[in-house]
Amino acid sequence: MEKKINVLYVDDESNNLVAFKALFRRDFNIFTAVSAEEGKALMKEQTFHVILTDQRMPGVTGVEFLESIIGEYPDPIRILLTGYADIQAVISAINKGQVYRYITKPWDEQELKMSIENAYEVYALREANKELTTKLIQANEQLDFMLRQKLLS
Amino acid sequence: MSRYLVSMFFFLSFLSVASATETVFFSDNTSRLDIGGSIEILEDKAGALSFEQALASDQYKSSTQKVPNLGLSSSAFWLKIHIRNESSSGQLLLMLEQPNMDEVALYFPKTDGTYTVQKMGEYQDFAIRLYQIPDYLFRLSILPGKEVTYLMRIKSTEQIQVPLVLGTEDSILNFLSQKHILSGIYFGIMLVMLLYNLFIYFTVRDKSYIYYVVYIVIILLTQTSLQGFPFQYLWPHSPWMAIHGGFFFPSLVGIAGLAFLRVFLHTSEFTPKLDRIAVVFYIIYSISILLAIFNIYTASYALMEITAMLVSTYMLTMGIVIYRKGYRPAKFFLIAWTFFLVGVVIYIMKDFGIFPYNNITRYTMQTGSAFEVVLISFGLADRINILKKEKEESQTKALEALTENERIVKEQNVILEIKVQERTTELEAANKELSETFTNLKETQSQLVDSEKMASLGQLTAGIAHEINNPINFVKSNIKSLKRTLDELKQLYQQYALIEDGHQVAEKIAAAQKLKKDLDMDYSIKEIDDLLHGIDDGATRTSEIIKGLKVFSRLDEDTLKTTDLHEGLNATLILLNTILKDKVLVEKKFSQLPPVECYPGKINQVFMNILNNAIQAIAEKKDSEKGHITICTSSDASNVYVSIKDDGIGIKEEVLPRIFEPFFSTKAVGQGMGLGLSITHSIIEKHHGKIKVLSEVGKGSEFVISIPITQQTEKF
Repeated sequence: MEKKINVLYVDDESNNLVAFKALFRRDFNIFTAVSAEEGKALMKEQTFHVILTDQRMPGVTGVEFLESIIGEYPDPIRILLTGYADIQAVISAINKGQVYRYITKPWDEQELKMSIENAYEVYALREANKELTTKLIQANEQLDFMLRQKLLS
Repeated sequence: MSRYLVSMFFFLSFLSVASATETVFFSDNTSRLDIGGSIEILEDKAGALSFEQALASDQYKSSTQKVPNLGLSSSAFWLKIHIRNESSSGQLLLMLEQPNMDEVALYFPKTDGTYTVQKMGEYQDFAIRLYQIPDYLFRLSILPGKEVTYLMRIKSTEQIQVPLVLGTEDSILNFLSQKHILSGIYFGIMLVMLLYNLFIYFTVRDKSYIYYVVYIVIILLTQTSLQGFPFQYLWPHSPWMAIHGGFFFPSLVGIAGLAFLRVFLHTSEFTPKLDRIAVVFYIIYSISILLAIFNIYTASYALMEITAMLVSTYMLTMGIVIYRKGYRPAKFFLIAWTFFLVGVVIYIMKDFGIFPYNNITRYTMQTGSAFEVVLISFGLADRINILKKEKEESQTKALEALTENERIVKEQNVILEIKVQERTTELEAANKELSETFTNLKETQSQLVDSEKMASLGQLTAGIAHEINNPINFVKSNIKSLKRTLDELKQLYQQYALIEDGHQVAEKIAAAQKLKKDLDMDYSIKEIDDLLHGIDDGATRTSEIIKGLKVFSRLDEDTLKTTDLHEGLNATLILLNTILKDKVLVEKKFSQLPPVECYPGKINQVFMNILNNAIQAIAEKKDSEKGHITICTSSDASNVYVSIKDDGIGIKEEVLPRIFEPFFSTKAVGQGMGLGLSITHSIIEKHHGKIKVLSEVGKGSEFVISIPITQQTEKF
């Protein structure tokens, strides 16, 4: 079984990390980080398709973390996990962190799995789109090239 | 006074020109003879004639009256008396029954034809008199059958009447003794009245009695001075008093009489206008007395006579006016005054000769005055009746008033009782209302305290939700993972179990190994410990939070419990953990604390409030660095001390005194009711503890709570 989806989960609660990995390691490639710094470090080594983060963390909040990586890594789909419905966090998650989903703890496995898969789908579509666009551009270029040669000949 | 009334009718001299020598014939038939009508009188106007000139004068006029009335005159009078003794007695007495002569001198012819003189009268000391009586007595020695001419010189500043009586010694002395008996009776009456009224005065202390007593004394002096008795008995060696007394007493009688009448009849009340006139009479009488003192006798006498007439009219008028007003004593006064006036009138009529001159008519004036005194005394006695009646009336009134008062008091008592009852009912109602209000207040307070607690709990809920959600999340998730791992293990186990039948062992092992690899069982096994640890951790943390909540919100707060304050502090800190952990470092400096008797839930609320404020104070500082909260506990013999110190923004000085006020808050609207510290304060107070605040803006605050280890009072 090939696992093609790379998922990064950042949470200050290591128990959550363990639980998350245990739950989804069979479906996805799970990477966990206990802090934002650790997460950023991992991102340098690995491409992630989906990034999940806890909102409440000491020092840097989840939204802040997501906001900080958009510039460098705009492609991964971002999901926010939080223990309680903090409307301020939700608003800033959408506006600043540009999250794809907002999921509350305790999580529902199926929902979470679906969300990750959907997120990956989006990611994949974007990638495919990107690829197609590239190909189209290439094809266009080739066509251009061929047209010029034809004109030259 | 009466004497002067009389004198007014005798202003004119009743003298006629003498036609022949008048002679008195004294025989044995007549033991006593009035000789006033049988003498000759010479008026010596200048009073300068010598005896010889008087004896030789031919200006003598015969007397026409039995008692010659010579009027008021400053002249001296010479009386020529011829006596022919036809009786058998050689010794006769000549009596001038008029004691008020200034001078009386009798010239006796001696055997050789010359005359010798014997002087008496008010200018002479009383002691020189031959007979010690007020009237003038001369002893005449005329041999029977002989005729002798005597010459008598008289002078008086007062009314001159000449009642001359000739008689034998026996008859004259008899006459005098009878006369003195009558005088004695009069004195007796007057003295009795005087003493009687004086005693009454001392008994009843009514001032009208003392006025009356004075009045009686002066009447007595006046009337008796007519008889010459004061001169005889009171001032026998003072001719000055003898002369002037006759002027003083009538005026004094007028003054005393008026004064008494005014008191007796209450004239100032009944006739105030008439009453005021009395002062004029006082002045006139006083002038009359002064004139007499300066020896201006005629003017003094005239003034006194006119005033006496006016005063008697005035008194009668007042008596009538007051009687008409229905004042009973006025009746007595009018009767008394009438008696006196009747006496005076009879006395005058006697002088006119309408009534005979005898011992009865002679004493009508005294009789009148005696009656007057007695009757007025009756009036005064009657006043006692009036007073008694008045007193009885006033007593009755007082009794009525007392009865009325008693009735009113009784009524008042009833009213008061009703009022008291009403008031009591009102008070009871008010009391009930108050206790209801108090109960309501207590309920409200308890509700407020509860709601404040709920509010602070609400603030915590979000944090606690996160705090609880995390463990629940991974516990739940781990269980799922474990279940899946267990499923895989079962699957692998079954795979391995297939090997046991001994067929195709190598293949089966290969398959099992393949499955094991596919399932990544090595990792799974390794993972199981982590998952279990996570479950364990999650369960522990959850139960801790729940325990903390339970400790914090203890519902057994109505009973005092001995509690470890550290437990409460820790529970509170657990609940605050989520808020604390990323912002604040908590330093606990706990010392050994004795168990404290307190209401644990309430005390935890105190810790929660103060810690919450501390966290907020730190948060508002907006420092990137973590804040610090230091909790110190300590104790002494009777108290435990908990100090909670933060390094937040601190409390402004002007706000500091108000922080314990209810509903005082520096937070924005909606961020707090402002009840936290107020409730904290009241909780500490209910524990008989103290709370102190030290704060410095920018540096932080310190709350120090002290609570007695044991509570002596009732629960709240």
